[in-house]
Amino acid sequence: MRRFGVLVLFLSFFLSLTVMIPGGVQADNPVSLIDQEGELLTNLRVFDGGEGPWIDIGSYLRSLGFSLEWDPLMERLVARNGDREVRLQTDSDRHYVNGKVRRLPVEPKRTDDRMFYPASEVDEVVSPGGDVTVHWNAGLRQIQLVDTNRQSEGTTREDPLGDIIDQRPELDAEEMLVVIDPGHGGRDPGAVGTSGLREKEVVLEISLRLRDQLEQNPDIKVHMTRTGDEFIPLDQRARQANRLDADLFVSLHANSVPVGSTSNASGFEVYTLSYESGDATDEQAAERAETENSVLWQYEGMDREEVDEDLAFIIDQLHVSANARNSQQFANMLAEGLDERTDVPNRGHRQAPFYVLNRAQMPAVLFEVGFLSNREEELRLQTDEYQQTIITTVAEMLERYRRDLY
Amino acid sequence: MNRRTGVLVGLVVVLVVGGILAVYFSTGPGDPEDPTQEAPEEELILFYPSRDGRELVPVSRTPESMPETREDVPETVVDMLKQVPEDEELVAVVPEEMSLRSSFFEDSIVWLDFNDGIIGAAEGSAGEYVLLYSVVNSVLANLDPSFQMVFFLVEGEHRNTIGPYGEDSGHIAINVPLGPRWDERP
Repeated sequence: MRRFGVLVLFLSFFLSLTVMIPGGVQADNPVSLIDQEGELLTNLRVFDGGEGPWIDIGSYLRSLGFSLEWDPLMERLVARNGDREVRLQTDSDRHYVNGKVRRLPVEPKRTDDRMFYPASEVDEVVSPGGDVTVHWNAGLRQIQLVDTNRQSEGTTREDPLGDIIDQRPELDAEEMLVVIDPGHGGRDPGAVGTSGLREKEVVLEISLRLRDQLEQNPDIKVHMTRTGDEFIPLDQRARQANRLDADLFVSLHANSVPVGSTSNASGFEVYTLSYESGDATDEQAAERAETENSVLWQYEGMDREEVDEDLAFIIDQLHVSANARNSQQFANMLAEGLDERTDVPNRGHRQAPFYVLNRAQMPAVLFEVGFLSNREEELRLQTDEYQQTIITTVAEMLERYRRDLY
Repeated sequence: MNRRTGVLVGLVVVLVVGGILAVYFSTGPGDPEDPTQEAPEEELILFYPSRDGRELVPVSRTPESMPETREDVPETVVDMLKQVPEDEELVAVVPEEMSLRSSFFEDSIVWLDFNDGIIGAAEGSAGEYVLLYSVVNSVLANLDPSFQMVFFLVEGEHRNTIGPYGEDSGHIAINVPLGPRWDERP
């Protein structure tokens, strides 16, 4: 009897452990993958990795038509579909699409011989292709494939990513895809001027006019993060550009000083992302960038299979640096370009860890076109003349940047 | 000297040298674990934005009471930043309703936990820039140089930005620690 009691105790302990341990794979309560017609494609096995369900990303990719290969040495899942190749690595936010590195917001995890990824972020991994995009519905625990052509027929846009053709359009080698991001919108008016001009309205007006002007340039394609008065969270603005694999992200804003201060700030300025690093000076950062640049060129164009993982990691970091350098180059071009065309004070180029720029995986700038907190500038920002000067400058600098780049 | 004695002597030398080094580094000026060190003695350095918002200018000021330990430094600095500077070319940007709930120190990072008065305390990129970095510069300038970054919390929690229409509506990210904005440490 005593031996039986010990056995029961042991079994109870073991069972309680299986219930208590978080992070297990759950066969029940799966996430459904729904096609464009609303039909169930498959139920995806789920892992409790925290922050909502994590799906079996291999099964997900297979359902989208990808063939799978597991590389045990590199702990890497390789998925291929036609000429598209995606590589996902366990516990690494580096992610390769057709050999080009991208940063994932979350690192995939591997358990029970399967790789898992958060359902809420699955649209970051790879697009289904064509005009189909992915929508995560947390309430229904469904990943829905959405035909963007069909959705755009008079439906209300609920998901700000919903009407994007979720793939880089076919571009010629010398063509460039630019994402224009009018700041704020919807419930977020942005800064409000002394006479009531709202930032969200004036930057949208300038952005739409800029888009129209850029459409005259056959080598520059444009995507707008918003074309109406909509609130779009900051990370989704950059995500739109990432999903399109854009070449440049330009966020347009109007400036202000702290509430209640006696500042008389005026002028335009351009910001790029800074990687905060304590006391490093601009000179030290520039010196480091120069060294990195020379190293990067040695490996430019080399097949990633030819280099080991550590070196691949270093090269990826250098690509991040290259994006930073291109961002700074374009920021300086913008500031100098507008300086040549107007008497408005040029506040130059500054760096800070901007949330919207931090998620962009391409060169990115935030252009503050003037101060709404300054009465004179608020009036100027509403004039056709100053708006046109801004638009002409941005359009010309984009063309110059494109020519420098290609 | 036989071989055993040689090994013994070597061991003693290693222990003595190691001990001296350990004592030196544990009491050295850069030790972030020692709360009694490094409280400034007479004046504090505060960074105020210039009226045009282009610069953060260091100013030395004497507080009503000097902080006794480094734990007191951030609160004193934030309170002083609310006062209008004597120089008319400089402006105060920290509003009255923005106050520090607590601060703590970890490795090279100073954690500042503000009340929700920081949310919406600045609009626009320039506004957020001068508000956040006047705090970052002023706090770090009055602490040991081993502290390199400031991490902002709001009501005890991480937040993406100080935007007033939700944390995804501001400009500068505060979900990462911020380093100082100065050409040279004052």
